[in-house]
This record gives sequence, C-alpha cells and structure tokens, in this order.
Amino acid sequence: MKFLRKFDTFLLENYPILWRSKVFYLLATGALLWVVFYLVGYAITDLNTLLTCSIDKRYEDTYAVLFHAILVLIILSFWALHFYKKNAIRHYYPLKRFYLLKLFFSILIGILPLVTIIVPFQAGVRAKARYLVDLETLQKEIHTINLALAFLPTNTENYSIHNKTFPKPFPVSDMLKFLSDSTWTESLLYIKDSTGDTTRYIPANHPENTVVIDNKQYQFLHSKTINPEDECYGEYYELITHFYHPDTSLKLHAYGLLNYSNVEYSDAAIPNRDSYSIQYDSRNITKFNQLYAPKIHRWVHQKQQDSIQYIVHEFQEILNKYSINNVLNPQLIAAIHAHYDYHGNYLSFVNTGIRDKNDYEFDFSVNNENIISYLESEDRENPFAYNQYSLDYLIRNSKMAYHHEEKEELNLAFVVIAISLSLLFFLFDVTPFIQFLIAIPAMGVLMIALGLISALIDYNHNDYYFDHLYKEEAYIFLLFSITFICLIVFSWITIKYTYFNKKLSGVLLNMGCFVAPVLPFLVLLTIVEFSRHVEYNPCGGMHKVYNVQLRETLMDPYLLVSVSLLGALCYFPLIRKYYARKE
Amino acid sequence: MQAFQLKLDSVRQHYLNGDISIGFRQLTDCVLDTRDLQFYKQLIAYTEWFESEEQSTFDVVSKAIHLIDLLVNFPIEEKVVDAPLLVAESLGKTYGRRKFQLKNVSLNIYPGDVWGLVGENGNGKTTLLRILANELSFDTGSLSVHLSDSSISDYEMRTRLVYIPQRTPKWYGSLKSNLKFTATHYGITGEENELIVLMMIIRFGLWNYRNHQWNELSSGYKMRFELARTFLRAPKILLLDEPLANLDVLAQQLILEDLKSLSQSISNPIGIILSSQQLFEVEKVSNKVLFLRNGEPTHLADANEQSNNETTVIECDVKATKEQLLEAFNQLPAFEISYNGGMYMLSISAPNQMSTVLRALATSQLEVTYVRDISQSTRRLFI
Repeated sequence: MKFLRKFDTFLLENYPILWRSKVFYLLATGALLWVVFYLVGYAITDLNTLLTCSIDKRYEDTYAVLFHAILVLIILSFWALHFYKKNAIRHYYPLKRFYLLKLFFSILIGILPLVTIIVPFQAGVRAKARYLVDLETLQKEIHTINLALAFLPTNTENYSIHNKTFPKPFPVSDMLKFLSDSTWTESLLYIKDSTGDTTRYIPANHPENTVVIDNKQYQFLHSKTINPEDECYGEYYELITHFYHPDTSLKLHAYGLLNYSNVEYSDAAIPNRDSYSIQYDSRNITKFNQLYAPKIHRWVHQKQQDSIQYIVHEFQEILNKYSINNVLNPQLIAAIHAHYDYHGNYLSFVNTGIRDKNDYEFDFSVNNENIISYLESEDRENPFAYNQYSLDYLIRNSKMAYHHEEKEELNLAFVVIAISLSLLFFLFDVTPFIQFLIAIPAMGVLMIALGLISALIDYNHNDYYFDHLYKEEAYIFLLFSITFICLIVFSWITIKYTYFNKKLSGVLLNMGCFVAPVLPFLVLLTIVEFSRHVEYNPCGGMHKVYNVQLRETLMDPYLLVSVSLLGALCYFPLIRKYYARKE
Repeated sequence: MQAFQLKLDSVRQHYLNGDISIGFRQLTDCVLDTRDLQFYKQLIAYTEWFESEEQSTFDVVSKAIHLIDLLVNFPIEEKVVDAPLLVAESLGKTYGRRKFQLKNVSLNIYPGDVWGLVGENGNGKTTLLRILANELSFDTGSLSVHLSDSSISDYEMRTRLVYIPQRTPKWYGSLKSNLKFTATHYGITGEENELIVLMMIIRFGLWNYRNHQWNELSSGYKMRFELARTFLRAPKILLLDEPLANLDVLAQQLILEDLKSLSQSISNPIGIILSSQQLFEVEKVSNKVLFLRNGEPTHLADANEQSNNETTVIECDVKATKEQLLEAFNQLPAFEISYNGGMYMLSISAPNQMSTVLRALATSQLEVTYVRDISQSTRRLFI
C-alpha cells in the first residue's frame, strides 16, 4: 500500500493526465482480468467440451460474455467515480500541448484490455484443448478414422461421391450421378437443346447417356453454374455442358463410386474452418484416392473381414480413448461387409432388422452366425452407431486449438467498442454536462428528421427526381454528410462568435462531437456510392457496378476506423475554444 | 532598509510581543517571498513541529526568530509596480432587452491594489467581475489585460485571470490532492509540488485539514481552500465574488487580512477585486472602493487620496426618540437626522464632527450602543 501511495503521489506530482485517468490501475486490473479469464477459460474446458461444442463459441456459450460485461460495467463505474472527481479544463487550468489528445488516449489504453477479455479467455480454452488432445497423435489417428469410416455409413441417402471413384477413371471435378428414382425423373439440371433454348433435363429420357454399373444406372456429366446476371433468370441454375461415358473395360464397381465414407477428416493442419472435412475439398481428393481408396477397394473386393474388423476396432479404440459414445460391433460390421455388397444399404438393414427379419430389404439367405445372432437378439443396437458429432467437434476443436487464426474483424470490433467507450467517457468529462445531456435527445431528433427525409428520397427515387443511376443511397449519404458538416461548421461559428448563446454552443459542440467520428466514414461511403453505376441485362434487370478498387480501398475496415478516429481527434481543439469563449 | 527586511522586523516584533498567530502568517508570507525550497522545508518542519503537540511559547518564538535570522540576508527581488494589470474603459453590458444595464465602468488595477466592489444586490457586481474575468462579453467600452506574455490565447488568458464565484463548486478527494492537482497543471512538479502545496496549506491555516474532504470542512475553510488553490495558480489578477458570504466575523477578518497581505507580496504583488456586502471590513483592506447603483458606478473612494468631504455622516444606535436626539445635538452645526428603522443617520454640514457628536451624546446621557463615522465609507450611500 505504501508503494502504491508513493506511486500515486509520483503520478499526481508529475503526470496529472496519467494520474487522473488511472490508466495504470486500469491496465493492472485489465492484466488481472486477463489472467483470471485465461484461467477460467482453461478451467471450464474439458474433454466433454471438445466433444459437444465449438471452442470458438465458448465465450458466448458459457455466459463469460455476461460476466465480462458486468465486470467491465462495475470496474468502469468505479473508475468513472474517481475519474470525474477532478477536471482541469472546467477549472481553466493550463493545458499542455495535446492535453486532450493525451487524455483521450490514456483512457483508451486503459479501457482496451478490459474490453478484450475474450482474447485471454479463448487462449485459455485453446491451451486446455491442446493439453487434452495431442495433435501429432490425432493426425495419426485420423488415418485410422478415415479408413474405418468407409465401413460406417450414417446415411446412405446423403453420401457424396464427388471424385471418390476407384479405380480412378474420370476427369471428375464436377461429376454428378443419378441414383434414386426421383432424381432420375425430376432432376434440377438444364441443358441447351439444338435451337439454343434452355430446357430442363430429365435423365430417364436420355438412355444414350446412361451407364450401367453393378446393375444400377448412372449418368456422368459436367455442368456449370449459370449466373442470373448473364441470363434472364432470377436464380442460379446448373447447365449441363457435356456427358462422360466411361470405358466399360475399366470394370467399375458401384462401391468404387459409392463408398460410404461421407465424412472424412484431414490430417493436414490447414488453418481453415472447414478443412476438417475433405469431402468438398478438391485438394484432398487426390490424397484420398491415393491413401485410402486402394485399401478400401482391396478389403472390400477381397472380402478381407479381418482387415475391416481390425480397422473398425482401432476406430472404436480411438472413440473410447476420447470418451465418444459408440456401440460399434467390429465383428458384426466385418461380417456384414463380407456377406453383402459393399454398396448395400446398411442403415436400411439395421432398421428393418430391428423391426422384423422377414421384412429384410435385401436377400437374407444368411449363414453368418454373427449376423443371425444379431438379427435374432431382442435388444439389438445399431452396430454402426457412434456419435459422429462428437468426433466432428473433437477434430475441429483440436485444429482450432493448434492453428488459431486471429479474427481481424472481431479484434477490430473490440477496438471500435473501446474507442467508442473512451470517446463517450472523454466527452462526458470535457464537455459541459447539461449541454451533453441535452445534445442526446437533440441528436435523436436530428436523426429522426434525417431518417424521414431519407425515406422520402428512397420512396421518390425515379427518373424525374434523380437520374437513371438509382443513386438514392448516394443521395442519402450525401444528405447525412452535408448535415453533419453543417452541424460542425455551425458549432464552430457559435463558438467563435459570442452573438450566439453559449449554452446553444455547448449543445452544438456535443452534437458535433457525436458526429465528428461518423462524418469521415459517411464521406467515404458517399464517394463510393457516387462512383458506382448501374448496368442493365438484356432482360431489363439492373445491378449496381462498383469501382472495385476504389471500394476496396475506401471501405477497408482499418481505414474506416482510422479516419473515424481522426475525425474525432480533429474536433478536440474546438473543446478548448468553447471553454475560452465568453458568454 | 529594504521592504523585505522591514517585513521581517515586523514579524519578529509580532513574535516578541506574543502575537504568534499573526507573526506566523507573516513569517509564512516572507518565506513564500523567498521562493526558496530550502526555506519552505524549514518552515514546513517548523509547522509540523509545533502542530504535532503542545509546545512552549518560548520554544515557538525562539525557533521562529532563528528562522527569521536566517531569512534576513536572503536577497529578494522586489517587483516594481508601475504598469496597470487591467484597464477597463467605459464598460457596458445590457441584459435582456434593457432590463438591466451595466454602464460606464472604468477602472485601472495595478499590482498590489485591492479593489472593493460594493452595492446592493442586483446592481451588477457579479456581472462586472465576470466581464473582467473574460467570462462574460461586454457590449460597449474596452478591456485590456496586461500580462507578461504579449500574445496568449483566450483560453490561456482564462487560466491567468482567476475568478472565484460566490458559490464555489464542490470538489472531491482530499484537500491536499486537489491542491497538488492544481499545482501540477501549473507546471509545479516533483518535490517542489509537495513543498509549495504544503506552504499554501500552512499559509491559509489548513494544516490540520489537509487530508479532509469537502464535506468535512466548514464554509470558512472551504473559502480558505479556494484561496490556497487560487494562489497556487500564481494569478496576476484575482476576482472574488462575495468571498465573505457565510463566514463568521473572525474568518472574514482573517481572509481579508490574508488577501491584503498576499496582494502586497514583495516578490509577486497581485491585483485583487472583491465584491462584498461587508462594507466596513472591505473598506478596511481596500485601496479603492467602487459603489455600483443600478449598474452604474456612483462613487469611487480612493484610500490614497485625501478626502475633501464637507459633510460628516455618523451612524448611531441610540435608545432615544428623534426628539431627544434633536435636543442632544442642538449645539451642532446645521444637520439632518433620519431613522431607517434600526439606526439613526446624522448628516452634519461640516467636516470632522465625530468628537463633537460624541461629546453631545455623553452630555445628554442617552444610552448609546453604537456610533460610527461613515463620512468616508460607502455605507452612507446605502441610506
């Protein structure tokens, strides 16, 4: 305590801004909260957390955000009580160069760590996740998991065969298939006919494109997505470009096209949110075909029950290690795969089996003891069942823990919150109190008025009032910009000339302070909106065309935050002039 | 002998006569005049010593004399008083469609001047003070403030013209921390900050209250705090609006004496204008007294100039009827007597008639409770 008192006196005697803003105490409190929230994040994360939810949402899910908000509210209230106790400008004390600027930034620096408590919290969560799951081990386990998943279908109607054919016959980047009857007669594909018109394509009407593999019909085709801007359609649609007819000498099997491994995991530590699943990632298709497909093909083709049983058993060991619920029966699964065609509908087998063995969809001239005993048992459980969501979460969370990517937008949002809070505290301190309070409803009235005029502009936008470019947004932004500029100029005039009442000047000063940070942003937005033009497609549709480079440059979030901050800072000198003004 | 040495002699005399309180205040002024941190430290140590416990008078005096002896040879640069600090010419201000007008106010304030601003309520005293403080604009006339820097901004001007309103705002935190905060903003940092703040605390008798909060202080001590804070700002011109309001008689006297003494600092004399209803107390310390009636200066009394009043005005409180008084004063030259409900006002058409009046009252054997010659006082203008 003695040291603190000495330190406090030292600041008071030498650095009144730092003393007053209590920035060191705020920083110390912020540091303490960072440690506490890191530990909280670490403590509340366990294996179950990794299996049941996404760790990047732990902050919201655990109500830490609520505690954070309450804590910050308490701390800032307590701080504000001390901060507002003394004031130099209201007493007309000499203010050194950049005094107000320094005061603002010392508040901002103090508030910033308090606002960004999510950072240590998430760091704590990730640290615990890293402690719980070893990435190197998991990467090895993923190979086992991917191999095993080929024998653990979860939904036969929902699998994807994109590029997962074996042997690999196709340039299959955008190959589609038709399997179910409904797709065969009601596809959502389009094709251009000989006259050039676009018509819906019904696969059943085109047997010339049909390929039969293992007694099932397929059509292999390439398509492209058509942008409605190119054509006179309101929605995107798939247009068939050409068909592919595989060489029958390839001896294709259905299982080669339709393996059930509809969920696969990448062992690559790609810092990409979706990279845990490779089914839509063409970069991993080659790897899948090289690494997993030959093995799966061999095991299925040669009916290698031991291998299938072994890999499923290994998978089960992994699930058990991470406490992921499952009732896998590796022996039974291997038996089923050996007895039935690989492409059979296993889920259907399980479901119908549970109902009544006489209702089997497939030919059940079964002589396998395991299968028979399973089908005859009364308390049958799905031998393929495991908690896929837990596995998904585990792998995704592990990758996030090891390869965390800072979310720039989120960080910037916290900076904006900290700046806004600091500005509010600052204005409350340096502008006249009553006028500050009056300025709030006055600003509200102004905004309502501007909103009504904007609505009028939006409502009346037509060729008569404006032009053919539909620039109503630009005019609205311009209206706001001009109003705010007028407000600031008028505020300056009332401060400069004593003809106006000083109280009015105080209200305008506050209103000016509110709009000063927004004005640069609005001006940039107005420039962007005015720089764009409208293009019409042959069907009469209209779309806005922006100057991409200008838009990207001016709408850069960092630029916007910087110019807004600059706008606020440029307004500060008026505050001193206001205080110097005579009544 | 220089002014500083004369002042020290006066302090020595006060101590030797046993007037320790006044001696101590003047000793503090002398130490402040030195602007020497070593002397500050010695005075602070001295204060700490005698405030810590009951000390014998002999010890208190001998230690003070020792300090005075050390001060005697300290070179003090005396500030030459020649140019006015503030010159106002025919200032005028109209409020709300001519409901009130301040008219034709002219004054020159020199370092060391104490101006008393008197007048009934609502006659423009506060308005004038605020105009002089650059807080309020004026419609006519001119106002120029001559500070050491030739070109300073309006805000910097406000930092130099210190105006203390009648109702001072509440402050928070300890008395000392507030003073330190003020001093730091005026560029007084580090050890000097601590020493000067303590010196001001000592000078305004706040030693035992230095760690008190606003709500722990009486009105008198709050005003002392305001003065301490003000003098830390080293003002050239100090404008005080009713500083004596809500103070007891003793506190009023003390504060006025302090103001007078500090305005005539050897090293840093300042100009003071104070408004007050305490006419006699103000007149006692003021060089000049300006009387405002309906916003217009109707009288300017200058203590430096010889009065050439041809009339003697005496205020008296006597338990007698007007007839009895007329009979008692029948030997006086031509006179008028009026009664305002509490006091009799005697206006005699001859100068210096106080002794004659006293004799007449003594002879008449009337019961007299109060008599005062107000011929030179603005009090007579309130009749």
